[in-house]
Amino acid sequence: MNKNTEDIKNTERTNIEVVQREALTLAESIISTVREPLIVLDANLKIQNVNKSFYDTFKVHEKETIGTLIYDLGNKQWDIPKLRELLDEVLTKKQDFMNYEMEHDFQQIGQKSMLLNAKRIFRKDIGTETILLAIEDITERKNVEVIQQEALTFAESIISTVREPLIVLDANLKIQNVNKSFYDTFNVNEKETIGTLIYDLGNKQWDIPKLRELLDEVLTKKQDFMNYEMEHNFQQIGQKSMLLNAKRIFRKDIGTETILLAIEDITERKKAEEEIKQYSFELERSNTELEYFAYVASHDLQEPLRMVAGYTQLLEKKYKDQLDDNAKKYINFAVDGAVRMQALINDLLDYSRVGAKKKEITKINCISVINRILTNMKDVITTSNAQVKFNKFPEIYGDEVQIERLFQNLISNSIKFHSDKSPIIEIEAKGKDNNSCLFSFKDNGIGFEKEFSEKIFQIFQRLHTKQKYTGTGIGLAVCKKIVEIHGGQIWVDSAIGEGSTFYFTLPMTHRIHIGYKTTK
Amino acid sequence: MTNNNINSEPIEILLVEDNPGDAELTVEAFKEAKVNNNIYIVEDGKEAIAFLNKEGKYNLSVTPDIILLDLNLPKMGGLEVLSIIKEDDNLKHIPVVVLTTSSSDQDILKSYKLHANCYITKPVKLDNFIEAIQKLDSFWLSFVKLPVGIKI
Repeated sequence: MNKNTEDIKNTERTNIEVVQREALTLAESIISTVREPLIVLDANLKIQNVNKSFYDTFKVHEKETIGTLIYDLGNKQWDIPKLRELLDEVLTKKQDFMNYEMEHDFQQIGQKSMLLNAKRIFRKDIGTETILLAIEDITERKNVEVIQQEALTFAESIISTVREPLIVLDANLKIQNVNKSFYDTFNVNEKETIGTLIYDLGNKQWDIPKLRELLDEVLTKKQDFMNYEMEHNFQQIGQKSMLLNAKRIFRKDIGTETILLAIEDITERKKAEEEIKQYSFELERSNTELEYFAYVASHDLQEPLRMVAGYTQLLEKKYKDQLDDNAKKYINFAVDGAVRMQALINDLLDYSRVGAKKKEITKINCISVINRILTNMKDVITTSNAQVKFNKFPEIYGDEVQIERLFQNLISNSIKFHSDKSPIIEIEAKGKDNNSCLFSFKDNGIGFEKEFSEKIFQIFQRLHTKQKYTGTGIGLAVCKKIVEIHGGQIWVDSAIGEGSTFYFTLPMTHRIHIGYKTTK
Repeated sequence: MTNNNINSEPIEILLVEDNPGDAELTVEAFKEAKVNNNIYIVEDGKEAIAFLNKEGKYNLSVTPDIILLDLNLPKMGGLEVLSIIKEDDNLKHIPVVVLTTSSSDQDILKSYKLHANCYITKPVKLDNFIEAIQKLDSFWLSFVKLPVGIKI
């Protein structure tokens, strides 16, 4: 062998070695860079090599790994029956495996789902068999699948349980799925429904122009719809008002678009709305009638009264000389009766008008209300030498005209029923809770027996003769009505000779509903 | 107070009132007022307009110095009569006193909006009624200067 041949052979060997080394390096770098954990086992199942991903995934390090029997690795964590099964098969039956699924609960990293590929490789260079074990951690994917499956089940159970009828249509408007509510509401069965073009469903009952319009828009303009109102007279179930929501959903799993159509049957609601409209119309009408009645009463009922009173008085005036004292007394009774009747009619009207109209709710400054009342009542207060004491008030909400009337009625009541002392009225108010305020109007008047505490708030209820105290007995009834339409309560504490204290509550929030509201 | 109507020409009063009882009470009250007056009574709104326009049987009627107008009238209501008077150039100078049973806020407001010159609710008591008529008389027919010489 000449030097040249030797050189060539050397060169070839070197080349082969280079190629081999390169192949090995390539193999090793493949092993080290693949993201999946890889193990290289020798014929005795001792670990020859693992890649970085294996260390990272299974939280073991090189020292305890290389040269260790796989089943002993990491405190025998890898002594897994299914793995033994697999490796036995590989060794004995000389068989490779793909996608061998295995689950195991590792001490350090918990429950894992793995997909194993096992491949025997006879390495000529070392003259022995090695097993390449690639482990794919599919725990996440399994979880996602479970979640997906759950989501799908969840979605399906939503569809099946919602009370609204739902239809799932494919891109050709054929019915893919409907829920029970749909079958129940529209009286169709599964057989005639699934796979049917929606317009053909139930003897073409669903071929509704407005529905076609909606679905065309959904398909062509790729637009979703909310609260699309539709009315239709169905053969079997009659006239229905419906509210439709349509939503396009692109389903990646089946690679096509579906349309979810939710149908709300608002027939009953519409009917109820109609009824409410009708009811409020009736209410308005009856209110107008009441107003008219009040007008007629104030005019037509009083005219005859004036005739009675007028002519008895004219009789007295003109025939004075021919009438004796009895006749004059009778005439007085007749006139007095007519005058009182008129007062009653006016008061009754007044009472019926409290709260009959829609009121303005405003924030009320009680001090300015009381000052205004004191100015109005200046004469009475001076004459009776009355004192009205008050200090601070919380802000209240209500109809100011009515509140003023309430306060004025109570103040004038206290002055009217004064004892032999000069009247003193003490007004106090404090917040009861966040929503209402408790007022008290305390006087030093004549008071009354406890048993009348409720009676005195009744209309035309009087505790004294009209000779002793004038008035029709409307004042406190009006007070009660005003307090009650503001959502409050009124009561009184009193004893003969010890004065009376009237208590009532009024709202401290603007969120109140004043009673007897009409839409007028 | 100038009382230049005593002994001079009588005051011409048109009373529009459908209730004869009421009309007579008003007449009585005016008697008490001791004013030299002529009261003409018509019973409904249409008659009132005919009287003022001297139509038909009223062709010889005078133009009143003052009109006392009830609101509740048959055929044509008082408010309508009022609006016709106040829109008529020949009539709108005549003071119109609404004298009625109604104490409704709406009626009062509507009357003034239609240019009523004053609004009086008839009192139940005769004395008060007479007093009201006397005050009306002393204010509108004696104290206030009314237009003269426009009588058609």
